[in-house]
Amino acid sequence: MLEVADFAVAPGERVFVEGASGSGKSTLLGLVGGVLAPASGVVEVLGELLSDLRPAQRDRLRADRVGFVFQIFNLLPYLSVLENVLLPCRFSAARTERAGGQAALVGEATRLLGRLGLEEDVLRRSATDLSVGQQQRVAAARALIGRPELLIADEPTSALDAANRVEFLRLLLGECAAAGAAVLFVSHDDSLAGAFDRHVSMGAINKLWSLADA
Amino acid sequence: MREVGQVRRAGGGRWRLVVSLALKSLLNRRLTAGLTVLSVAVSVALVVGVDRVRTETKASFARTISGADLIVGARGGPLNLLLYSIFRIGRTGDATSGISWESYQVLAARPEVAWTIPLSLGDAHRGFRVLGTNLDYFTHYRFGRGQQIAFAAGRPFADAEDAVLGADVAAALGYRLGDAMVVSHGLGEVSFRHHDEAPFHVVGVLARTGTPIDRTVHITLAGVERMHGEPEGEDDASEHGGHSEAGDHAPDMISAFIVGLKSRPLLFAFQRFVNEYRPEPLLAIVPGVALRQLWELVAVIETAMLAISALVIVAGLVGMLTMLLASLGERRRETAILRAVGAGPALVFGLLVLEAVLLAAVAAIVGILGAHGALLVGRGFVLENYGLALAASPPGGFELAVLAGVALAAGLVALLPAWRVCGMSLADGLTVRL
Repeated sequence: MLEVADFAVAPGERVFVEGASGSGKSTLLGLVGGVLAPASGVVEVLGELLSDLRPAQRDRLRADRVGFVFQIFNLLPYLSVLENVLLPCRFSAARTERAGGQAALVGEATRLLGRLGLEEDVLRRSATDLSVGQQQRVAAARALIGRPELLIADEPTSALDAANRVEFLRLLLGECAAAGAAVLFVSHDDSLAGAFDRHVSMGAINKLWSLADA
Repeated sequence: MREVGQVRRAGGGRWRLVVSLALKSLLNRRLTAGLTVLSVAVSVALVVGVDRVRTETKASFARTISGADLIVGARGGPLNLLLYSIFRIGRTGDATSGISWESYQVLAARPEVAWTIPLSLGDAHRGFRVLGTNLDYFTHYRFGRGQQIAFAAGRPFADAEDAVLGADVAAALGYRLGDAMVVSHGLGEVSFRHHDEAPFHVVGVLARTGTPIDRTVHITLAGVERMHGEPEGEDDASEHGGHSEAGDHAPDMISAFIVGLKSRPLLFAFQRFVNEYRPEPLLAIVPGVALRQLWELVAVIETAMLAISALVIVAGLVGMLTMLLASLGERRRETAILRAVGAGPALVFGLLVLEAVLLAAVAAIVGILGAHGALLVGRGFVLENYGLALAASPPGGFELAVLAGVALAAGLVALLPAWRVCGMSLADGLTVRL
């Protein structure tokens, strides 16, 4: 259960949301990403009231303007690394355009993967043949391709060891900064919070959680 | 104009993507997809096989005789007469016990008769029927679309020791011109009574006709008499349709004869004349009418076979539906990922329907090719054992209709799982763990 009085992220702002398991972190991201619908109230994302949009329109908004990094990567096992990364561009002409056009897509995917620490030789491999850390980078590249205006990341570092976690976060935020994307990053690991513009706890966002916590 | 063009390109690209995703997803689930294809393919093969055998059997029967107005035999069942005299199926019995030579001569001499072909059946040579006839057979008999019997080698028989072989007889037994052969008594493939005293010599081999002619040994009526020159029991006479045992060249009896009339309008009058012929009970049948009776007789079985085959296809499609519904659990994550990156519910819906259509189409193609392949491989066996010449024709309209019907039905069947998957919570799919 999640009850939010007011929560906003400014354009280009990088927000770290910290909270224990069950505090509603993933629910918050689901609401912002249009994956979940609120029982009451409104969710406005990038100037669009999600409650006014039909499911297909919410899918279009995500395709065009939002990048999603999931805790469990959610790569399609039957697609190669390159195909997984390019998937959002396949559904969005706007995103393809921002990535430099159809002809530049492979180059842009290669560049992103390189920036996130993956060599070009993994491009044609099945995404699920890679290590957990590599899969996480592929998932991040998929979210970042085509310069989304908002990046939503749900505990993307939870499967990584401490050294890789910091390095991955540095690369991810660097790429978001280059794209000018706002970042909504949730994690239960508050040691990562220093890399963000703002640190918010779920207790401050979820009134129901703060009551239970009290 | 430019914007419309862009939209069209984007639309085309999207559906290419859907096809690509559907194919890759199916390959990723190749075992279950393969088993589904197999089950539908088997049912399609059954339907196509039944239809092919049905239509080829009809075509085979229809092309066996052409241009003949009547077939005359002893009074009995018209189908029995037709099957025995023309298609070499079954045995003579009371119904086709024969016609006296005198009656044959009287009827053949009637003014309305243009030509006749006497037929004397009852013997076999290593499983192939032996037909006693005369040269009119090579002159007047027509098959297919009025084609005349042609010789691949040699000439027509000239005397009682000569034999002319159908194409399959020569090919199967390896006979060449001049070879000697001994005809067995009766119709069995293995006979313990051979007419060793009357060997025949191969003087001609007929060109292939795709009819029972190919599986027939042709000898003269005199040859039949010569072969049966020594006395035999009563059962023998019945078996042969009443061959003469006198040993002269004019038989006492023949099994049947084919009639060509001078004028088609005379057909029913002459048929009535034969059927009311007083000296002996005879039956004249119109080949086309008798064939139609045969098809009417087997129509119920045909319908039942096709209905069973169609039900097998339904069972295959229900199996596909079961597979699609059972796979929804594992597919919900896949479809949720696609939705999360912007695929849209319509595309996901289309993806699932397209997958089912692709599966069904592949299954139908495999089934059609399988059925045709099996018939191609097995047609020698069918010809040898049932005397049916199944032509190796390419898939046609029926197969196309089956392919389209199965694909369409699969698309309709997939609507339910596609609708269900679209109704599933996006969040639910995205939180499924590996």
